[in-house]
Amino acid sequence: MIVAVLGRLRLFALREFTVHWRRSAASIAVIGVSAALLVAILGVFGSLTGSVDRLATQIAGKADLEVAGITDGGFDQSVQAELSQIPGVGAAVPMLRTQLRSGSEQIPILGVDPGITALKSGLQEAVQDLMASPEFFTVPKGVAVGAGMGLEKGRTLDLGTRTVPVVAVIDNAAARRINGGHFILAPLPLAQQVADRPHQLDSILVVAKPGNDLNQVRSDVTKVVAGRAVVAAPNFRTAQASSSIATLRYALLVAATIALVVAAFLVFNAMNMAVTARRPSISMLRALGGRRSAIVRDLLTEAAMLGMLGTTIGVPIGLLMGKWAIGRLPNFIVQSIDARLEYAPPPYAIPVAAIACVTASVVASALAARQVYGVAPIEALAPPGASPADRVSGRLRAIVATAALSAVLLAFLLAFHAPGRLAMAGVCVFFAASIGLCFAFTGPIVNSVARVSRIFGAPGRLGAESVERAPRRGWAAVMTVGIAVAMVVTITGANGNLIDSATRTFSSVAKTNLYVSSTPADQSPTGPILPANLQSTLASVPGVTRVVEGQWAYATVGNTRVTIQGLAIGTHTAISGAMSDDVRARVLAGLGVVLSRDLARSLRVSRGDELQLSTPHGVHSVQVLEVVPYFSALEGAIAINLSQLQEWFDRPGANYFELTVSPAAPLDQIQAAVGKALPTSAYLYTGAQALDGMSGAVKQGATLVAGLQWIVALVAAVALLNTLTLSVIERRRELGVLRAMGSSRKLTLQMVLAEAGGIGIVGGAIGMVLGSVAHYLDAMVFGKITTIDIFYEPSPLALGFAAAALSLSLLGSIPPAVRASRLNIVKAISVE
Amino acid sequence: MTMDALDTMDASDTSVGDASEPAIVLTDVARSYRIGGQVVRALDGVSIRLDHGQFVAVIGPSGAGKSTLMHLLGALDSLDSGSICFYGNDISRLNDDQQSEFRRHRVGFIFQFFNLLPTMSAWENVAIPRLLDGQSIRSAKPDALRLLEMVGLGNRANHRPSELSGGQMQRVAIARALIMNPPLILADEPTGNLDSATGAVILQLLADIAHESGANRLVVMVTHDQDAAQATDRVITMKDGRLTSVEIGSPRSDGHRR
Repeated sequence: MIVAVLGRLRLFALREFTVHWRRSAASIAVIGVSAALLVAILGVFGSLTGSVDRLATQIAGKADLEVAGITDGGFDQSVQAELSQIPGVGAAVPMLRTQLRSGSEQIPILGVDPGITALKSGLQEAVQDLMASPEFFTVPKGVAVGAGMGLEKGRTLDLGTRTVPVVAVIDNAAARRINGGHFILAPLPLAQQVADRPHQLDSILVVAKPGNDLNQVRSDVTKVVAGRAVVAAPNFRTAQASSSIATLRYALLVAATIALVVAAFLVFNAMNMAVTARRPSISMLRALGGRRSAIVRDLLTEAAMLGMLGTTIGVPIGLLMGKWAIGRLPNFIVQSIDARLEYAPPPYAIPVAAIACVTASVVASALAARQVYGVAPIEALAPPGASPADRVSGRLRAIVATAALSAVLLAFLLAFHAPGRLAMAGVCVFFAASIGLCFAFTGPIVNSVARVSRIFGAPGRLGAESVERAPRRGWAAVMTVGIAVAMVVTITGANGNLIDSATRTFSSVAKTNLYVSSTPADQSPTGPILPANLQSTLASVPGVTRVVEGQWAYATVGNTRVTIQGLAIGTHTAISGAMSDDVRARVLAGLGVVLSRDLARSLRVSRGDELQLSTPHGVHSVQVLEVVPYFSALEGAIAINLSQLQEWFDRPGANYFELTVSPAAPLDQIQAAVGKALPTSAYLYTGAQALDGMSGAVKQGATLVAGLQWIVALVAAVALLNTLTLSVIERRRELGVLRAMGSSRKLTLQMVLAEAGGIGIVGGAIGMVLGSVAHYLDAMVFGKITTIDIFYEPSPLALGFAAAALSLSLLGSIPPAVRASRLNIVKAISVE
Repeated sequence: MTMDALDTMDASDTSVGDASEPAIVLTDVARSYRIGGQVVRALDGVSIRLDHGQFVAVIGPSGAGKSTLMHLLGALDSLDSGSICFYGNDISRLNDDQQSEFRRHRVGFIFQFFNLLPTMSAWENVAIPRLLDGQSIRSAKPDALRLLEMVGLGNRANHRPSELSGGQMQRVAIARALIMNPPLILADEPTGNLDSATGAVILQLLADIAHESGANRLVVMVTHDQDAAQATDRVITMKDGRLTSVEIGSPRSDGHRR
């Protein structure tokens, strides 16, 4: 049985691969592209969360719980002693985990004590040799560095405001697993000194005593901590990292899914043409006694082989793409990740891509293989020509039309009513539904192509006849054009609306003349606190009329990682610009907070509610004054009075200043003067640059999504060329007869071009219509997932893209048209 | 006929010059093909003269060179050596455009499997060569209807091929072959897909076309069917790329000499 199956596979499937290599190559290529995209996306985002997870695991070891700072301001060290008193706690290992500037770089520093031996972690294993010399901890003279830092023992290091010597270089396998060996290890007291955070901790890793109920221990720990810090499982940082990149990950996955839908459609086309072309041999097999189910099984096996071959080619390409992409992620993504990014695709990336691609190939081919059930054995005795199997029953079209319309409705429901990121599925569903709808309207579509082709005179008339004679093929070509145009119209339009709308929400930042920040313009100002005397220094620069301090920090609110923004009077930050004047005044007076929409949604609070805000000094109850649309890179933002941020979260000072300058003096002169007054750790940029930086972050994310879909559009263009070439190959006899009757080469060429013209015009029009609807849906979905108000504006470029599709159709049809005009007449008209 | 003369000929003029000249003269024509790794000599020095007003059959076993001969007569292919003269003009060295022009105006093809376009009606199928010639299909309709009437399908002019029998489809194909009033009709197994009675009707039609007074037409038919061959004026037998015999067919029922 197996031998027979393998024999059929070799004779029918493999032979088809080699004989019709163009068709096979096109299918393999589109599947390969989809596989590459899926592997790249899963690889990149898996690497992001994997990097965070690996670091967390290497540090936490067998810790059962972690008590972590709400912000990077940490919490008081006294919490550790309190935790050690809990009966179920076996060890409470204190740690300072922060980043300090050394030169132009931010370097991760871990402040630890000998208690880390209780963790049995990778960190503990890495510093075993150090632990053998207790004076490292008891008589702290310097720091140890991981080998990845590239520093030698004995060298001095500028850290924060101090200079410390490197007393050891940790170079072993365990150390290399920690952030790639890129870390600084210091005795806890020294780390606190260097970071200028006396008696502060960022983390306490809790190891429960064996035999104790972990839930009880957790409950006791939470009671003791009393809201001064976050109590969570040690992998909570991984979950936070995953959430913070979720939006972009989902958007890219949706793009890759659409790519897979398009690939499946193209495979369907190719398999459709294959089955049509093989009808004589299929009918012959049937005439000889072959069963339809066996023939269909063989076709599906062939499709699975196509899928596997495509995946095999796509996977290594995807791995390379991921490796390239991870070094080029937008700053707003990378900035929020507290670990060195290492490219390590998760183990599920390749299997998921393979299963998805093979399944798509088989499912698409199954739809095409249905034709086999319409091929009668008697056809083997008939001359070549249209077969009843080439026509699809009206009943099937009605069923598909009903299902497609239902799917369109579902798409709108998902886009408008599904919560959060699930709404993205609406766009995928719409694309799939569009294909189904167009299938149901194959007749009108093909008739339209024929009608348009006839405009081009005699060649057009013959081209129209060719389309009407083989409606499946004509439909496939039209849909290839239509899908590509629809995708391009959707992405360009929706991305444009997103960027414009996001830029509008940020527009208030441009009202400030100059910014001084501890981070560059394209990053959130969540960097280190600037020197305390800097505000007065800036105020004394001639031309500077006002200096408004401000501070941003990452914070954990609930289980969510957000930005918390401390505002002072005179601020022009984006979130402040989204508030009404009254609400702003109340925030600045310390009477409440303002939340971004996405944060309010995840915390399930709304305007007027009381929010319990955990701080190192306990829980503060604050009123939610307003919920505003605000584009946040993370899970949301809270705007609060600056003094409250500084006091409640133990974060004195500011990490940015907004400067107002005198209109009388030239801005660039004042800017130059301010620049001279700044320490090297500070960045200076204008309001316009700040706006560009924030918009640029949005553009970067949108560009990633657009890049993926342009790849798919390009694949569709290649598939169109392939479809047109195949249509000429399959019409050999027909073209030969016309040439025999006296059609010149020029007329034959014009005929193919006229047909392509009809396909391009109708396909472009369909793509424009579908793309415009999908653009609207996509814009609404963007609004839901970004929680800002997206202003939908139809793109004037849609018509341009349709015209480009026509041009592409015509250009793409030139090679097959030339081929048609040059075919050997004698061979073409020979009866096979 | 030089290539230049062919270029400047009035496309609507299908007259063939001096009617006393032979329609076609083949002189030592040879044609070879490479099939797989072998060179097959399809025609090996064929020389013959064919006159207008005749219905000629070319018979022989498979691989005899019948189809190759027909392809060369119809300027579908080019010969390796020798010459083919059509009413005194060498057509063996025409370029592709000139070959297309020649086929469009001088030759009518009739195929074994009819090769009608399925989405066009009978009269539209007949009019296709006019369409290929740059004329509007509407302007060809009167002639198309006339020819359908001539072949006995005047009442089926608006029917599509799927609504016609095999014999009817072949008659449409014959009408199509005549729309440009060509002096040469080439028929490749025209009765191969028809029953004997229908085939006889088709053969009679072809004979009538060949013998039409004043038309100066030559009809060449390639066939395996010995009975069909015997209904023609001349039977040319081929084997291994050569002519083995040329016989006179059955006398015409109207008593005229062949």
